[in-house]
Amino acid sequence: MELAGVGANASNNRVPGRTPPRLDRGFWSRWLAWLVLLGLPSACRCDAPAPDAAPVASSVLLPTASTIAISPAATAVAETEPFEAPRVAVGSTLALATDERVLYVAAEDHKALFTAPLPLGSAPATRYDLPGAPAQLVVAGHRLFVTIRDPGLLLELHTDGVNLTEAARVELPPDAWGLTLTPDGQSALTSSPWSAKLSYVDLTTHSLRWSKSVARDPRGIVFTRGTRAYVSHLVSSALTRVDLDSGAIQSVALPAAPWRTAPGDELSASLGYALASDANGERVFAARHALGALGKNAWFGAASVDVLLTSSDRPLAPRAPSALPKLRSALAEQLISGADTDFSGSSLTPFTQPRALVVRRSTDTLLVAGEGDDRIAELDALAPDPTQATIHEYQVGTGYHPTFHVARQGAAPAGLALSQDEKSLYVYSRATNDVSLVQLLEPEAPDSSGRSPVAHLELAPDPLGPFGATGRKLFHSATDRTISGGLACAGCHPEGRDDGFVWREVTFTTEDGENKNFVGSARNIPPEAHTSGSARRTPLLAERVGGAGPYGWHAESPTLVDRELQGFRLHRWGGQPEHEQQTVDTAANAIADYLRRGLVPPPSVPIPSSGPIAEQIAEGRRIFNSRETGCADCHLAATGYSIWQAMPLAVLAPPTGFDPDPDQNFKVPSLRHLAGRAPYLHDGSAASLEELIRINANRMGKTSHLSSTEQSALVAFLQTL
Amino acid sequence: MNENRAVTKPLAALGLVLLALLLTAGAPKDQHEPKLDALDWPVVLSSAPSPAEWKKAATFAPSRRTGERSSGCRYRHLREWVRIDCAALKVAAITQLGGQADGVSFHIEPAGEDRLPGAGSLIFPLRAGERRAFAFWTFGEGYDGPLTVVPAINVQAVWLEGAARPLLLVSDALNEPVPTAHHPR
Repeated sequence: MELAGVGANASNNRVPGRTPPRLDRGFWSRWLAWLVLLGLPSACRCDAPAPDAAPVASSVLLPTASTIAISPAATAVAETEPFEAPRVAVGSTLALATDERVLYVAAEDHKALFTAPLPLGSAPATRYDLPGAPAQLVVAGHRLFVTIRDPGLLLELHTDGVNLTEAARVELPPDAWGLTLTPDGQSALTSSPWSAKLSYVDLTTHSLRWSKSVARDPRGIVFTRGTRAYVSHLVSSALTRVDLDSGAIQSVALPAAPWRTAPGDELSASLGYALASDANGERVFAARHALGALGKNAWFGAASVDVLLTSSDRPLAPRAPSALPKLRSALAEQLISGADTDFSGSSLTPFTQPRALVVRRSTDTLLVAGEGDDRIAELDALAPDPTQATIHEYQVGTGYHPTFHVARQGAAPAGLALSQDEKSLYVYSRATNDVSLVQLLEPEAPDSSGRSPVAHLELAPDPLGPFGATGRKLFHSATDRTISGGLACAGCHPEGRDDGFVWREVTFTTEDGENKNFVGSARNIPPEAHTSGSARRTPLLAERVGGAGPYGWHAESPTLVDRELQGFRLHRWGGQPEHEQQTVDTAANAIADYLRRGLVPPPSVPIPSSGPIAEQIAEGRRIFNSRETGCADCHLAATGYSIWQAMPLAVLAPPTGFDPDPDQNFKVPSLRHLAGRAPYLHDGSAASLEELIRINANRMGKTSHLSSTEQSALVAFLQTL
Repeated sequence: MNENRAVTKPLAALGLVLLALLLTAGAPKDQHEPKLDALDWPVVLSSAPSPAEWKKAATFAPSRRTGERSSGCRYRHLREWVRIDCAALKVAAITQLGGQADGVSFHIEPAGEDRLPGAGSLIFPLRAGERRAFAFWTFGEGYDGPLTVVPAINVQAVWLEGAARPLLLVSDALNEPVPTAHHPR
């Protein structure tokens, strides 16, 4: 299938020495596309797949207004061509062509691939529409590999330097995201976060060798020693280790930010999008957010890059076994109290909300994209704790809005690509859908010049329009202190989903007076408050905020905007700064617009039409809707599986280390998209849906009378919502 | 004339000295020192050097050092021991943030007339298999006003099993407080 350049950019996509996209071929493609739409038999069917291989889907028309796209998937050609090892095997949202004349960008919010001729800005970008939202891509010679989230696919595209042609596609579990090629370029490992699957794909036959279940939300993948790979998880500090030869999969502990952790504690992590390894595969670097990491006023923890030694699968930075030595001057003793100097946390880490990570091997440094502060931090890759060894910082965001403090360019960096000489860094910023070029400094250079991008290229305007676009930026930005206390909405609701973490809602006194705040650890709460806080498990937002209201744990916020305004006050340390209410109201409305129109819901779980699983789901639906259980009385399907009001519930003992909630009237939550977002209940005390039903008894509806078979059926149904 | 020459010669020399001082004032103290990577780091287990021994200890440059504040420190080694003296810093505190604590010692010069403490010293052994992290703290603008205790210099030492020599990594600490109503970012 050929994916020809489209839109207004196509006609003026001229680079010296090159030919423009072949629109004549696109013209015939359009005609053929209409024939397909009219139901005429397609001549584009692929050969039937081998019995033990996943089917290679037939080419389909890409249903966009101005897209030109159709021709057979040339699998036979792909099989016979020699493989070229990728220069960068780890997937990213952007990648450089081997000759560095073109930059490829996977623009998820546009469901498109963009090509940007280099030098950046020398010509407009060209758009190629895709069959779904792309997540990551890898370039290997003239081949491009792209994961598509929904439907789950791995696309192989070929480029002749100008046009893109689809060569093959492999069906993957829904929500295909992470992508890394084996060093020889002949296989790929992909992750599907919502399905919690890893998939091993043979690129020579375009067949799926296997898909295996792993822990929740697998994301970044990196190969280290031969066929050994490590996988990060969005909502956990542990990595998954995969040995392709044996097929063995195991969990590898890598506690987050051990040097910002109290002795005896072990921290979990969120935002584990990115992994990278050093040149020898001896170290794996995991960029994430350490939940509950300590420091002065560190209510939300701290960003972290944790290092795993692959020779032993042990962390490079050991945990503190006990209290460590310290010496304070007499004046310092007078000025500070408690453990203020025990952790290097009175400053933030050099980036907020890590989103992407690459290793600059020529300088032994790491480049980390901070989604929340529009920054790239360059860190010492040799250090046990790279976040405490900052080399340089580069500000990607520019043109900040005077009122909302969001960047006009370079907002929410989400992908990084290094030039071959490692002196130039290309940054894809998702909230502004643009690419920035940053000239990197040498490590020993004074940190005083060259910190801003030298070029920007906007790929396409935000499909949500200006108001939704502002909401998108605000959702990802931690730079406006009126709406963010140092961590953006996306810090706890990555992609509008959830961080799987149980926070603490607690009232205590700071220099701002008494306020109700959220904190990540009981150790963050001033001892004089004499409380541990109420448990608050982060809710998933996507496709669950469409109702008029009310919102809040106890239905205390009449509307979504009211809930956001409350969130601006809650999710910080101390009180909200003085502000113009009208400005904050506008920001809340913009975010609400983005939440309702911009967030992409998780993919639906495929439901078989017949067979034992279909029968089990049908039985579960019957139980759910039955008078005996009463589930549907509160979780009403017609209104998103909620009746949008608080209901009195029997007291649930709080999890260990938390205080009881003073109010046991909880708003009925929507049950949409339950399957991929464990743990459950407002306090995260049920690790799985099975456990939730088992421990529920008659607290929510009545389930104590259900047999184990009936409980399983109910769970099977709930997983389809 | 001769008297004038006699006066101008020392003045010119003084001027040259001052000029040289001026030109080198901003240069890192370890700029011309041998890097730790070029040293044969001893694999020994010795007791901590005495103050008299430290006076004869050789200076060196860390494996990597970045930032202005850490450029004002002096790095010495004796046997497997490391000493870091930060004389240009008003050291509020020195703390260990991670790793093994054996053999670690700190010293902070008492406060002078300005009531601010003086230089600070950090001594620790650097042996195979060890990882250690330290922070020098100073005073700066922050939550507690202009005399807030803030991190100034981070020190990380690591000698991986099987590696030929250790690494000493020194960098200026960031001081960017979490924003609050009273303390914007």
